Amino acid sequence: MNDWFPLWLSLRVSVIATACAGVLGVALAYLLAKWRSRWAAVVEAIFTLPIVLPPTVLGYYLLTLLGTRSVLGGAWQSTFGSPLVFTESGAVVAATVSALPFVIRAARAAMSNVDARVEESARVMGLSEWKVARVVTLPLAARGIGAGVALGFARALGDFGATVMVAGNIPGQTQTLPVAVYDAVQAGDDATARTGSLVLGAIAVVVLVFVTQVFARRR
Amino acid sequence: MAQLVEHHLAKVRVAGSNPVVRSIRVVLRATLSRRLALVSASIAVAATLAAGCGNETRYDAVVAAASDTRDAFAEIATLAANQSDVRIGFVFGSSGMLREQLLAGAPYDVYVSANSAFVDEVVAAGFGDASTRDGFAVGRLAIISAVDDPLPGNASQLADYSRIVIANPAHAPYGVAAREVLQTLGLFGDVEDRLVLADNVADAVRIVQAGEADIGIVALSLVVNEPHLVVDEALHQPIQQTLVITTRGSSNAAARAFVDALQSTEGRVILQRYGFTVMS
Amino acid sequence: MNVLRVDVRVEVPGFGVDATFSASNGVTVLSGPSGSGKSLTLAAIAGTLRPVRGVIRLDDVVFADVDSRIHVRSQDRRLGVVYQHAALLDHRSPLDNVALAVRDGEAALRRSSAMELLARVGAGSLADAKTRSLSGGERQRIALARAMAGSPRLLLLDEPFSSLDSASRAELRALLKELVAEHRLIALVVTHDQADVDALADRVVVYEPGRTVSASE
Repeated sequence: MNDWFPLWLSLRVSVIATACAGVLGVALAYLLAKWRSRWAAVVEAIFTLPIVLPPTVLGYYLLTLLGTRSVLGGAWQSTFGSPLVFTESGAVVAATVSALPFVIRAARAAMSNVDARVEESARVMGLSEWKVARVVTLPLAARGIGAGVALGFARALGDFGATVMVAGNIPGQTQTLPVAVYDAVQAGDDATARTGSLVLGAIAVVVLVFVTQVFARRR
Repeated sequence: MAQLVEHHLAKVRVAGSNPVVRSIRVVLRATLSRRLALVSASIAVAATLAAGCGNETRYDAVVAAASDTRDAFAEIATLAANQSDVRIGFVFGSSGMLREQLLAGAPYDVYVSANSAFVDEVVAAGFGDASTRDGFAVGRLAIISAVDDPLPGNASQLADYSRIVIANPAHAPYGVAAREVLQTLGLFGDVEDRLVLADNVADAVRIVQAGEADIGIVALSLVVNEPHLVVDEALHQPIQQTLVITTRGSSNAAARAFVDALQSTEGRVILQRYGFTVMS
Repeated sequence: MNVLRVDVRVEVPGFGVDATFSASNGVTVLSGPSGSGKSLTLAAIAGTLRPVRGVIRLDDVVFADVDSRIHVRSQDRRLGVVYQHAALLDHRSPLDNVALAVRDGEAALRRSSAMELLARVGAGSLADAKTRSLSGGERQRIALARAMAGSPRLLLLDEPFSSLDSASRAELRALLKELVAEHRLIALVVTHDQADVDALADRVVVYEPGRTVSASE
């Protein structure tokens, strides 16, 4: 494999996407946990939809939502001068949307497992809701949230369908590693396909080990 | 990939009873203290973000081309590099997919389609420079078979094969032409449920070469150097390869340089070597 | 002389309790079979649950009034709470746990107030201990210090000593009695333990399943 650009691009895109999904996902999970109504369940279902949608379908919806002819896409273009789709930013959006459900689900589960008594006593002590979240809920849910973020990273790194729809497959610009592997297979370039797949697999294993060791329960 | 990670997480938990794995985990736990892990993770992240910047392979122009041109255009790109010192990046795919991307705002500088209708659509939508429109060559169909399988004597024997692959007629002109051939020969109804539809004609070639189908009706330009049977052009509408420089590409000198190389004498020779019929 | 007046109905899916009583300075024990609604009553007084009917009032401050749609947040009621299992922040030191509950003043001041409180409950040496590894009795002392940290007028204790051995129980009962007297607090204690009742109660409110039935000195 002579051109390592797809690897750097993939890492950069998935790191940024994971950070966005992490912040957004935790915030959403917290709000969804507090907003007790039927609508909360509907909103949560919408945000976790990307897990069940085939990635190309997800990509298609994103393209419709963010393309140059859409409201959001047009707004982006007037603000930043270039379109959102078929750019690295578009790849980040596709990866973020793919990773978000993993973070939301893990964060929801972790936060609801926090002992309500501890949160209640914090409130009675006088801590504002924001402080309760910061001092009690988030630290106690950190382990579960971390695992969700790691899964989100793996999903963002490996995304193909949504990325290729929204960001395209522009060599040197938006060709992420999974897309490059697919391209190599189509071109009959087995060496590149093999190397790219090995690298992606190796990163997945490293992330896996990291998650199980750092976030493992203390004895 | 996320499913892969979850699957392995489960396996690791189960495998924890294995003494080898246990000792590995002990070592890892000892070395991977929380703080050390977090610090090294932060360094890795920072390094990634920093290293990635400035590492972009900048191509001077991006050409979106129908996948039947893959092999020929590799040589044309070298020609353009020699003639004008430009680096061309390619996005290969079915002509229809590329048209969709262009209409959605994809930043391509040149569009090469395996038919002229798609190019006209792109021009009409305002994404192409009409003055650069050029139906520069005609493509041909060829039949190939899986390795070690015999080729048919003629096209009407296609029905004897169990799995036939063509490019997807929904968005690939070579697929449309292949379907036309089957219809003209009266074989389509017979083979329809045995057809494998590939995403684009290059993928169709790969499928046959990988043995996933025994026979394929594909682009001649992709199989000139392998055993193949050329299909009589009377059996289908001409596959009119057409190019246009996009609105975006019209301010790009490298785009112009690529098209010049393609339209030059040497370029035409290259195209002919790959089985294209070049317009004079 | 301060008076807490409770006259509410509290409901959760499948169960409801009607509680009517008043409590003044000193220890008032809520006793009765488990499942009769004692903890639910405490939850309503703490502000964790909204009553479906009635009023909760401490002197002239209304905590909850369903008809007038008044519900004061837990944060603003200035209470102290002690649960059966301490409910401390295990990831923070005992000193931090108490300091977080001190309401006014900047960080240094809060920490010194917290130190004083810990010393008062006999846990001064535990200020920087690993909260997670403390014994039940030690944790309840810290919980008590934390409950006192916000200068509360009202203290709510839900089976505070039932997980402790009898020696610790006796010590902590005595400590509680002292604190209540020193600060002239109104303390409500939910307990099953007759020894608690005998040692602590100035008044007893008896529960039957679903309601309070009598109050006696």
